[in-house]
Amino acid sequence: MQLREIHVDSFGIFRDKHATGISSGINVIYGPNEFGKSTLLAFIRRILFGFPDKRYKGNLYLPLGGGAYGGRLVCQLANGKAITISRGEGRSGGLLSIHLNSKELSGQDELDKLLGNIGEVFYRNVYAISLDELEQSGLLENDEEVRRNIYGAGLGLGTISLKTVRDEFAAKATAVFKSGGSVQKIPETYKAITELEHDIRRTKEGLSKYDELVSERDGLVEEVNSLGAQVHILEKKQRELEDQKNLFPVFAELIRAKTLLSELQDVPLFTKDALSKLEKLKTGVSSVSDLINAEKEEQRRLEFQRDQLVYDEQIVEAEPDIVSLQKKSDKFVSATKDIEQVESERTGLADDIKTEIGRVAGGWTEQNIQDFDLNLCQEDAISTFKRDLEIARGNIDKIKTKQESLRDKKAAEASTNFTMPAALRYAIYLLTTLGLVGAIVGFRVSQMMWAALSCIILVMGVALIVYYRKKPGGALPPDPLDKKYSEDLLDAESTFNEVRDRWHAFLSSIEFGESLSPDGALDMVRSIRELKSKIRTRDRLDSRIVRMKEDIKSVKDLHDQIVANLNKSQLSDDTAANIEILPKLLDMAKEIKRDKQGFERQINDKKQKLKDMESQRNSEGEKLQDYISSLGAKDETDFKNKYETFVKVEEQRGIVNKSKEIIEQRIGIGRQYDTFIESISSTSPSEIDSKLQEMENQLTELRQKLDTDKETIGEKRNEIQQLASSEVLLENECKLESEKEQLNGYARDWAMAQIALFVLEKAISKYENTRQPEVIKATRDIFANITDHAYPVIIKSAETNEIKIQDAARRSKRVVEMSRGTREQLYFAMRLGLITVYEAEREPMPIIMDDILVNFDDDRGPSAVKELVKFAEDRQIIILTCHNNTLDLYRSMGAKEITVD
Amino acid sequence: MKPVSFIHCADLHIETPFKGIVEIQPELQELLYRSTYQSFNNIVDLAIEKQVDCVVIAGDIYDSEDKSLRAQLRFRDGVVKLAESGIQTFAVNGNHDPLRGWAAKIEWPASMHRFSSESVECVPLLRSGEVVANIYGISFAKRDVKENLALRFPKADQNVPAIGLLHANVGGNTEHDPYSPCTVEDLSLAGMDYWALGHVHSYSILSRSNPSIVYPGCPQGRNQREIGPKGCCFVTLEHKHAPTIEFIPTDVIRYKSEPLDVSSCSSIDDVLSLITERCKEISSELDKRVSIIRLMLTGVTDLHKELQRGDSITGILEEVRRHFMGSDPLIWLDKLLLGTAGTYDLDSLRRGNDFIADIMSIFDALYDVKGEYSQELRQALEPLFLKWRGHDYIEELKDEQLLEITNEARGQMLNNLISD
Repeated sequence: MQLREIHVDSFGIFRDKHATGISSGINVIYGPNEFGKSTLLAFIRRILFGFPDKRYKGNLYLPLGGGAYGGRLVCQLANGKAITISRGEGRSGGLLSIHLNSKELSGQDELDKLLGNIGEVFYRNVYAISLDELEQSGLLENDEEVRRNIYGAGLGLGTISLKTVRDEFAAKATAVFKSGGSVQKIPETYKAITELEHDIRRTKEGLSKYDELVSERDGLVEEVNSLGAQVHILEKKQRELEDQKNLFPVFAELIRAKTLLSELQDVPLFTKDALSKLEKLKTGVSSVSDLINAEKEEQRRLEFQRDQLVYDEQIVEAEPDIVSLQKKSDKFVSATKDIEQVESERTGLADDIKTEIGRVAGGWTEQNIQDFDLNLCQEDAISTFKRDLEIARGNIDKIKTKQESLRDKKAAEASTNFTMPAALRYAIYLLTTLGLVGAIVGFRVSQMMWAALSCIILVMGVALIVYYRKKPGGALPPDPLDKKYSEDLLDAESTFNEVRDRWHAFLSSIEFGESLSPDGALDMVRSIRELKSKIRTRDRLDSRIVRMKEDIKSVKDLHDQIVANLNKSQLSDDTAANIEILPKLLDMAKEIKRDKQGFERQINDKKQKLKDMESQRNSEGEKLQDYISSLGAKDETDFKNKYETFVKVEEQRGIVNKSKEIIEQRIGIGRQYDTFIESISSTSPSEIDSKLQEMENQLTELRQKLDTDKETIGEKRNEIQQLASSEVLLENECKLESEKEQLNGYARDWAMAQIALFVLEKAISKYENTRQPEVIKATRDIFANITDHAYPVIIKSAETNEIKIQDAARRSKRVVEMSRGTREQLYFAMRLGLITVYEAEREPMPIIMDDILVNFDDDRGPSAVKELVKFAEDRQIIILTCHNNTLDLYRSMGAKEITVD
Repeated sequence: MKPVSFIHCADLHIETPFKGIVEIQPELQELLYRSTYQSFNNIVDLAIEKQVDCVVIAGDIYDSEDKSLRAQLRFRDGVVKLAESGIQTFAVNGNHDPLRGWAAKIEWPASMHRFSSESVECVPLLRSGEVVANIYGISFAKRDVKENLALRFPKADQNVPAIGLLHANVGGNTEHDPYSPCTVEDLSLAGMDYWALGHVHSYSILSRSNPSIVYPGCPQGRNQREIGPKGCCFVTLEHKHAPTIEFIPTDVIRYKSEPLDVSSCSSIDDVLSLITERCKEISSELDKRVSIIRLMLTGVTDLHKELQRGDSITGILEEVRRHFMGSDPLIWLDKLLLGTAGTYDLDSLRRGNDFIADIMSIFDALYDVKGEYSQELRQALEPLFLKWRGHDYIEELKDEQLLEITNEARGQMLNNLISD
């Protein structure tokens, strides 16, 4: 395929750039620095093979000037068909469209086919790589990179190092297994496996011990039981001897006590508490004596206190009178305080009565007043008279009023000049009104007849009115009503007079004056009653005054009577004061008397008590003496002596009993006790010690054996338990399986790595044996021409893959020994050689180069261009340069200059 | 007469070491250790719950000739528990626990009968003193019994149900050792009502009736080949009638191994989520037993290269294990294998005229096991697989496995050679 046109829509710094007229052979695109040679190179590669995705770490050449990302290449295939390859922004390498003749194709697969499946990496490394890219890849630094890139270029591996890949697989294999190795994973796992198998074998061997252990354990248990029985017997004997040893002192004491008992005289009547009883009795006597003394002392004290109390007996004897005086004291005080006032009140009242009698009923005496009495009937009569007179008067007034009213009315009527009755008067008015209305209506409605009639009626009405108004001020006719009124008046006055006469008669009957009105009579009655009340009050006051005086006198008399017999030093001259003092004096005297009497009673009690105590003391003394005699003693001294003997006997008996008890507690009672006594009686402490020692030795021996056996049993049991519950075997067996699984996993990993290395070697060998010779051959010729046959030979070692060049004198140089220029020339030649071989059966592709000649010297530069021109005869090469002299050189060789605009 | 009911189990392999598991966390380790014993305990509890007349065990109670002491004691505990509930136990020995090996001297309850290896014994099954069935059985004397023991069984007494107890390979099952080989016809000759067999670890009924021939399978799977529910059979047998046979799972741990396509994943987190979700689903599928899972990641994915990196798979595995730590029931991702492929087109690589095309062609040649490189490759592997002193511990590299590894090598090679 060859490029014919380049159209950039927007790519990096390029926007809407075009290059046309590109042809076979060498095409040169000249541009200064920063022109965009790398951009153009990248554009061509990416249109052919796709845009990288956003994760690409290199330059994406995104449009800097805006616009649609992408563009197109117009090409011609080797078969002459025109093809336009367009790519724009999109996923999976961009939106690709292929226009082949008039057919539209799509998909990178289709394009790859048309490109002969060259692959992007191969195309980039061989056909279209810049000097900068070469430098960045470190190609020119060393032999390994040259070889790698050559292999890489031909291998299609890009920047991947075959050596690295091989080394990685080799490392994987070596990490797992190495013949004769011991630290890799497989030998280590094998070691773990053998150790586990060893442990498992040992554990299994141990398992068979189970039955043996069980038998041994059972045997030891039997032996332990037998030894235990022997120990038990010996321990029993030992205990018996120890008992003898421990109890020997007790036994000795027992014997000693019995001996003493036999020597002492028995005092059977005595008891343990005899002495205490004696003491108790003695204490009883002495305590009573002490009490008697205390009582006597108390009695003396009481008598002294009693004698200290003194009071006036007279006052006590006068108690009733004083009480009586005290009862009367209130009255006395009250009377004394009030009598003057009461007398004054009485005098005032008496004067008032006298005055009132004179006012109310002049001429009457107090007796009259007292005698006057009006009963209810008479009182009611006064009220009745009052009412009747009022009624009568009221009637008279009423009639007079009516009459006067009538007369006033008559007078008024006469002054108004109207004599017709009211009904007639109203009729005339109505007639007159109708006439007037009718006349008006008639005239309005133009009904003359009607109007005339109404006028006539009107005139008649007016005439009547005038007529009846014509008789002014004439005398009124006599009124019957008035006459009646006059008659009634006379009757009423007559009635009144009658009532009045009766009233006067009544007044006389009750000895009141006739001029009194009923109200006046009532007032008088009231006044008389009041007077009577006052008189009663006056009389009461009189009585009270008399009583008061009596009270005062009686109290005074009583007082004098009392005071006459008393000691007057504590009294006053004032009766009232003494009335207060005397009760107090009485109370004091009574209290003293009570106290004294109290003391007397106590003293008497004491005396009686002392008498009883004396009697008691005598009784206690007799008891004491009786007790002493009852126990066979003559007196107290004898008693004490006998008691002492008794104590000794008891003591020894106690020792005997206690010793026996101790022995019985330890040994037992009855036969056991007797046996023990019998046995201990025939031995001695030293003999016992000796036997004990012997027994102890025997026991120690037996116990040691027993402990050893028990310990062994415990060990056996533990072993049995461990065997029975041990997880070790299962654990180890599981670990073993796990290690085997691991081992097989490692074996697999090693096999995988070995297969990979195997294949790698085979592929390298194949590549070197089949492809490489052609490349080397093609390269050799080109390189020889470029170097002007300075290095006619290129050698690639089959074993080491090292490339060397040889000069005419057969001196070899390795790549690292070459100059930079020579290395570039070699690489240049190898690229061309590789392309020659590659394109033998493939679609040729445009070769794109930049200033590859920059490091070629003045001779080799032109030689290289010549080779390039020859190489380009049936190919297409596009040179990108920023050097004018390079442009000139190529132009001189027939290259076509292409402009990008 | 009331039908006879019994539990038929076999291949208990109590306290067998587990195979195929490289790493075990302590929690799982304990479960693994206890699982075979726990499954036997489940059988004992089931027998007591169902109040069966007896339990018949058709061999391989233990895992080796030299029977683990602890396994014997634990088995004895189970038998004692059955005896205390009035349930008899009948057992024969198999190829893994032949009578010849060591057995601890421990006391067995009177209700436990272990058949001898010298001849077929007939032991009555009693219920309240009455014979309700006859149990016929014979044990393995040694590990590799090649004789057809079925032919030794006499004609059964036809008055009561007859149960035959035998550890055997019926019909030449190639997945198991060919010990005590026999056929269905051989078993039919003895006139048993029910053949209680052992040796094959999967539940299967070779014949429903006349006679019934049943393998209950093992009660607890022990590796990735023993997948699915494991347990025992609860059988109700009436003379001259087809029995009712109910398989009851008693296992505590189950295995699952399967591929998992990660083509849809665009990140390692996606892969992690997918694996975690699938593990949860598997746990539910395994009836909430303890799950030991092995997954092979497959599919074409851009993540292929990243997954191929040294610690990627290990990291994902550890993360998944951490996620499920303490889960109830326990979920253990035992292995995570990588079988993904990169997004490159293999055919396109083959067509290229470059080194990678050469690589592809050589790998293609290796897939032909009889091809030019096959023998040379085998020779290259001999230092480990043949000449190394410990090679016996390494499984023989069969053609199928070699191809798998070759495929893996190709994947790794391409990852290394093809740049991003």
